[in-house]
Amino acid sequence: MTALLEVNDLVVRYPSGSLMDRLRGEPRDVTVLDGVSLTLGPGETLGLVGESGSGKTTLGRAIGGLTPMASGSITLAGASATGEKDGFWREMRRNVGFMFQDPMAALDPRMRLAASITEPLAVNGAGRAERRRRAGELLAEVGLSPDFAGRFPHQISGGQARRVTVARALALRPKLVIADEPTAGLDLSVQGELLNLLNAIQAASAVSFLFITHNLAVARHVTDRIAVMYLGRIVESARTAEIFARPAHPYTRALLSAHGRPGAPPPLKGEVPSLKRRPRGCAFHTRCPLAAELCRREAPAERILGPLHQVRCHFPLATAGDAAPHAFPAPPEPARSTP
Amino acid sequence: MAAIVDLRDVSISYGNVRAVRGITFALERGRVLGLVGESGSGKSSLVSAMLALLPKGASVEGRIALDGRDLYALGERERRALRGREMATVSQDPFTALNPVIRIGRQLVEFQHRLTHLSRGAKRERAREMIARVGISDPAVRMEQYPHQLSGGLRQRVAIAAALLVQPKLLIADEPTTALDATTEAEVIEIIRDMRGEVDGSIILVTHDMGVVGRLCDDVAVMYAGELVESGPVEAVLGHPQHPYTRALLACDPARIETPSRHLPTIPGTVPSPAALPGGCIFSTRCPSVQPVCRVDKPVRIGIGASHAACHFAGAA
Amino acid sequence: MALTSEIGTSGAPATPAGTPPAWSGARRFLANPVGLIALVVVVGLAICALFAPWIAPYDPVKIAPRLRFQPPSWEHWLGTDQLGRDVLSRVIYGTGVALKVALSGTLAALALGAGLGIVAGLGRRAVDGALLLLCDAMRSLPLILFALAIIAIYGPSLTTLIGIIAFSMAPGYFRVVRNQVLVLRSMDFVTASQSMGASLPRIALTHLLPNLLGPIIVLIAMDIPAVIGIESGLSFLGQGIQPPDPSWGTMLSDGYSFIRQAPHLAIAAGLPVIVSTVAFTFLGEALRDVLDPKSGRGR
Repeated sequence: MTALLEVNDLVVRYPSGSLMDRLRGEPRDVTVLDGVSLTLGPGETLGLVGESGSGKTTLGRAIGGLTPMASGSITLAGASATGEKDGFWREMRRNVGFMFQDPMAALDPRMRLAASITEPLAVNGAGRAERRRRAGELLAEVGLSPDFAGRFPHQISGGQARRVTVARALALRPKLVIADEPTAGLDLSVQGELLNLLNAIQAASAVSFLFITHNLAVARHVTDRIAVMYLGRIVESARTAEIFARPAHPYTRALLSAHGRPGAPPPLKGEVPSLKRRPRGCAFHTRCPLAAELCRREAPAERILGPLHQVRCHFPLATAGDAAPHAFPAPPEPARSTP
Repeated sequence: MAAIVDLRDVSISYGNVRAVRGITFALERGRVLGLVGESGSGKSSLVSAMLALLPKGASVEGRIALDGRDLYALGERERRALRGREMATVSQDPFTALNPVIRIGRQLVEFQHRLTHLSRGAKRERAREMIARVGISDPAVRMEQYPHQLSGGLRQRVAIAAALLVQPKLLIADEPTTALDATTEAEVIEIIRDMRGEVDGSIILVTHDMGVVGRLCDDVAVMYAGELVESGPVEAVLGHPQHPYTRALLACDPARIETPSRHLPTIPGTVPSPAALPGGCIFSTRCPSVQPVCRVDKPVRIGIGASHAACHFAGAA
Repeated sequence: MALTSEIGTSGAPATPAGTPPAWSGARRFLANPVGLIALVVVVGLAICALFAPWIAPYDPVKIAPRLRFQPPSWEHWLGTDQLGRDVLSRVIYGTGVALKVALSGTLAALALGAGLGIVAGLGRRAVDGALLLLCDAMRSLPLILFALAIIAIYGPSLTTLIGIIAFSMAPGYFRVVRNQVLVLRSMDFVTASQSMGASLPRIALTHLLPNLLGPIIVLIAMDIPAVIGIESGLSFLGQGIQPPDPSWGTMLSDGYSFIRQAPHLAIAAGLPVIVSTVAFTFLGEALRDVLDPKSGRGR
């Protein structure tokens, strides 16, 4: 299986703060994504989970070309980008559909829904008649009746707005849909309807999903693989079942316990450190119940724990009960994921 | 034991539309109630009515009593005093609850303005203690900071501290964890649980998250389309739900589905609009086990074990 | 690929389709009596301006030395001035001058200010900074001194007047448009458009302009009285519209000179300034209420 999407060593930096901050000797920019690599196959759903500030939204935006990258490469369907080259991004954008966190904000309040849904077609030069025809088709695909075409965003409910953004994301028949918190703010039954819709669309069209969420209960049902992010790095990635059955990184375990699994360690204490003052060594050591001297000194390399299971931790799978956690021998070559 | 909150046949109308109808329940001192319902269930209206903060044009029928006093028999001044001293709220959005241009410490002192017997210094000291108690490190530093310097989780904790400072008899937390991510949500839940003892009264937690109800609450009240369909102790309602809506809602929660599945359960249909309610049982249009009688007769709430449910077939399953 | 099974249109019941915001906005506007009256007055002023030759009973510049300082009568409803010209006719023709200056002045200011505002809002930081500096510099000039200096150079005329108004009003439009563009630019629907590969001109045309229209219309309505004020003011000082052309400002100035002999002159010239100013201001307020999306969507 060749990967549809391959992200290699992606680094994203934002210019930081004010002149005052710089005079105080703070760094000029903040590294939001620090060497992220991932792959996504056709028809696959990858869940991107982590707390707010972990960089998961930035990663989605960078993959869609909405945030310039400092270094690294993104390859989608054979074409790759290493910087901001317009020609490539135009081609890329045809293949990527976006669903934003807040569906109401993602719809122009003064545009009728039909125009919003077919905007990607208009950008690519489709005519009026074709847009009208496709608007009806797309509305039907997401289970909305044709009379929605003439409505304005303020005349529909949150769940319906979600469906409209799904329709727009699918307008160009993309190979990849990046869905940022697609069920945030939805009632449980409506959430179920939307997830079933996304699954049905995937079953019918083999589209891949990058599913950005902090809701692990949802991710468990709808993703094939999960990548856990912390402070701009992927700290663990594995098949979804494996993540839930055998979480290797202490941060992953903390996230799972936060979802109220009985017998799990207590939730994390303390705050996510500021990106401006990323801890030395392992970025998680300030909150890690297992942190040892090594963790404060050295950033852990990526280890392979099994097929498709990678983790960045000096003491993977160790539990707090282990009297003296001992380091797993590192593999000779920190291999990249090769699905 | 006396009920802190006592609702008798409370209905709320906006113009000619009765958005909330016939809510009756009592919450005893020291208990935590989870008020559960989806959008359109009327839970926000009910909470606003309990705080006497309904918008103009809304009218309340029935009796809402706080610690034995009928809220709507009081004058506006007394009600306002009540809101400051005996009722406190933690809102959904920790970003709007605090004034962005005033330091945390001063805001926490201001929140205590009804406690006239305390000096400013004493209020400051109480604020500092409370910040430490809700698990915020370096309380002295935090007091000098502005809200934007705090993360969402910290701000929500400050909001909880602010609510607790007035020693309310009733604390209403309106979806306090929806704006937060999983680990922060877990922390905030821990804090509310730890702080239960601080509230010399009761807590009402408005939520649509059954997981939060299970972890935090003693009692639960399930609302649907403006009516109370089921209420009772958490173990009874979550363990043996009597109303089909409660069962459907629990079935929809992805966290409660054991085996991962690509096809998640949903509740077919939509919540009926309060302007066009179905005859008979309000859930009859979407109920999986609907019977002819349900479309004609409106079920009354009956007690089954410790809980109450408004269903013709409650107790039968 | 039709997915019909159990995918109902979920969520809260939505408002019925077929009532676009423009229509409901018009209805809300009609329900506001103050706005309605203001609109009627403004429409009346526009009719006076457009059809002055047919409405005005006399030639506004025809001098009749024997009929000087006539008080209001059946022949001359507002009397005559120091040269025996019919005041009502001059007020009616003056409306045309006032509105012409107001409209062309604000439109020129709008074109200049909004154009630069969009450039600043969408452009790089350096461009934005430079334009902002320019705008602040222009705003810091005292209007009357600036106007008198320009008039001293180019001589008083309608064109000079419109130019002065365009330059002095443009910074206001620049500010509003630039800030709105900055806000809109960070909105998700603009980001979404970017994610589809839409070009900047396309985004400006499809998303920015329609969303800018509301605030701009309101600003125009609010600015017109100010412009009428400037025109009257400069004409009063003898630096605006030149005699014998009828202008409310020059008429007011004349009326002020002869206030003892013929107080009706000052009143007749001052009233339309006040009425039009108030009408445009209230129209602006009413439009703001209608065009603000929040006012219609709040429950």
